[in-house]
Amino acid sequence: MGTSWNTLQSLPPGVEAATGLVRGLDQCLLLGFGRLGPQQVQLLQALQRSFGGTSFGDALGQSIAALSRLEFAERHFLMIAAARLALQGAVHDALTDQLMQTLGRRTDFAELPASNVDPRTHDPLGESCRAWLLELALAGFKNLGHETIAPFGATLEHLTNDPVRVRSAALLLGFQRELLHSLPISAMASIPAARWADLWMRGFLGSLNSQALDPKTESSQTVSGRLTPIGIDLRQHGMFASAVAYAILEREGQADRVIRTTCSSYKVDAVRGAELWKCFEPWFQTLAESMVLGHCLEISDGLLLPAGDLVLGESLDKGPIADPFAAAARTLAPAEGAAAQTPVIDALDRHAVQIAEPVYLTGFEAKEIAEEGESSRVDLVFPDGGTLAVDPGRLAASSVFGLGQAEVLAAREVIGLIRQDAGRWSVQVLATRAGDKKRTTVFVGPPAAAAASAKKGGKKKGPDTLTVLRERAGRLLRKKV
Amino acid sequence: MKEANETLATIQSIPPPRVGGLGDRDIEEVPFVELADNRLQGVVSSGSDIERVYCCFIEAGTLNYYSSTNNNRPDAGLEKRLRWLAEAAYAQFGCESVVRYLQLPVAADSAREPYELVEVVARHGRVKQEPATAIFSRFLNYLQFVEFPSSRLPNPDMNWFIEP
Repeated sequence: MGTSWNTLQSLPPGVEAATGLVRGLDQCLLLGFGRLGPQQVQLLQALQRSFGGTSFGDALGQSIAALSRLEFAERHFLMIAAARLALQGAVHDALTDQLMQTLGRRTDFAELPASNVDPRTHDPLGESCRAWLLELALAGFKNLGHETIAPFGATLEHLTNDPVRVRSAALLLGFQRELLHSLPISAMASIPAARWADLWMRGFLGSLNSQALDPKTESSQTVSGRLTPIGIDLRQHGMFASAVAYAILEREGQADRVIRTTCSSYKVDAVRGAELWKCFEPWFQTLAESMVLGHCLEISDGLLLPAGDLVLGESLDKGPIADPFAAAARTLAPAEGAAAQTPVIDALDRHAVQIAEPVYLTGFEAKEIAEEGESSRVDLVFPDGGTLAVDPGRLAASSVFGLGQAEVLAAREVIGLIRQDAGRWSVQVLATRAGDKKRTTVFVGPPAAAAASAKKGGKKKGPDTLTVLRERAGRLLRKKV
Repeated sequence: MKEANETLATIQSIPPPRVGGLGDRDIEEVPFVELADNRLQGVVSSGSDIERVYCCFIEAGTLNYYSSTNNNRPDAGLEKRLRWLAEAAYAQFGCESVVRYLQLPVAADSAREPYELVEVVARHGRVKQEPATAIFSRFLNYLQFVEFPSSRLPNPDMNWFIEP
């Protein structure tokens, strides 16, 4: 039973049309709602027609009509953001169905409880966020200047001081920083319109959510058992880092399943590269180390959330020997039967960028394919001729931690995440095992980073950035009145 | 799936990361450097006293510049300080980004070395005396970020960010 990767080369029906509608909307955000011409109004009307006949479609139509009349109330932009969310959610679902079918995986494991957006009634901070995003939409991304982007810093200061809003804060911090660092925007060779529209939409909708800090809900359950981490996905921008460890959870009397566990931390941009792992808490270091050292972990008070996220409690003890590649092979590519349950995405977060399906790959031939200029990419070619591209951007990012082209080209086994962007499927490699005698393994993660910097001829010269800055903070911030 | 007038970079949610050019920073020498407030600005250590630092900036476009202590005493080593600031900025952001942000009237290739950047600045800009408090205050805000608490809750929104 093999996966036929070539079936992913054509998009599912409807995806192209839905994406076209989203791009039309993104054009309006790029040009500015304060400057809409007849062509842009037509694009918005096409958007509305796709929701035709529904009560949402009627409300959207009214908002679009109002925006065309230059009535710029916040609720009209909320309708626009919601329409974009719905379309991209539908695209996500179609792509996920296609992927799961290709992988031969079940999609019927569990019904997620309906997400609840419970807008706070009096929320000046949320309103502040939406007011800024509204300004961006009115001006248009291509017309943004320092005077529109920078003042949001005052709101960001309040956001970052509120632990309950960490998701919103991390996103908007990254978005504002990216905009500021792109100045002068008018001089950019090309503006990443789809991406900035994504961040705009997430910022808008995320500011509404009154998600409580305590994840204990009716549908979460306390779990105990064994965790075998198989790979770490690192997300980061200058001021925030967030690592997601994928792990196999074994419990008495239950089928094994793959879960995600997340560790996030604010940071400063000076802390990057191999040093960045120091931002994460000791429990996360323990998790990463166990993956490299080859043993599992025993837990007794983890909290398993409906989508497959595990929030670790206090217990995290060393367990028996466990090989992540063997565990991944057994769980994700079993000789008989279906793969184990893998994590899913909450309805309100659904977007192609969230697709991150864990896979164990073997039996491929890794080929280097020359590209324009001096660059090259890597394809994994399977015996049936099916080809899976290795995401070059993510490979470049992980090569900082010792997992680059060379490691993938030498690999016999790969643990990775299937990704999708702009209609293209690829694999993000989290770990490789080579075919050499030593069966050399490389993981994205802190121990891999230590190994990589050792390979490059010794430790980074100079002091530990995080320690130096914490010392300065300690001295200077205590004095601050 | 893209149309004739669209490049991949305009339709991707995660465009490819910018090519490197980032180096090691001497964090003791320049603990803070940023591209903000239409300036390249930052804090350079005095070397003697941890609480005495130099606050300096180069303004985008005009290339006006200044350096003073955080007590607003003028800096006799202004040119040297700006060079250290430029060196840290190049290591942190890359030469191209800095040259672009400052709207330097020369190509990045003519300002590959920090001293070359400072030469262009000295030729085109003027001394612009300003109190150091704004920059020092931003330094203190920056330092707070190493002390915020961590979170172990899911954070799907971070999936858009893979670049330092």
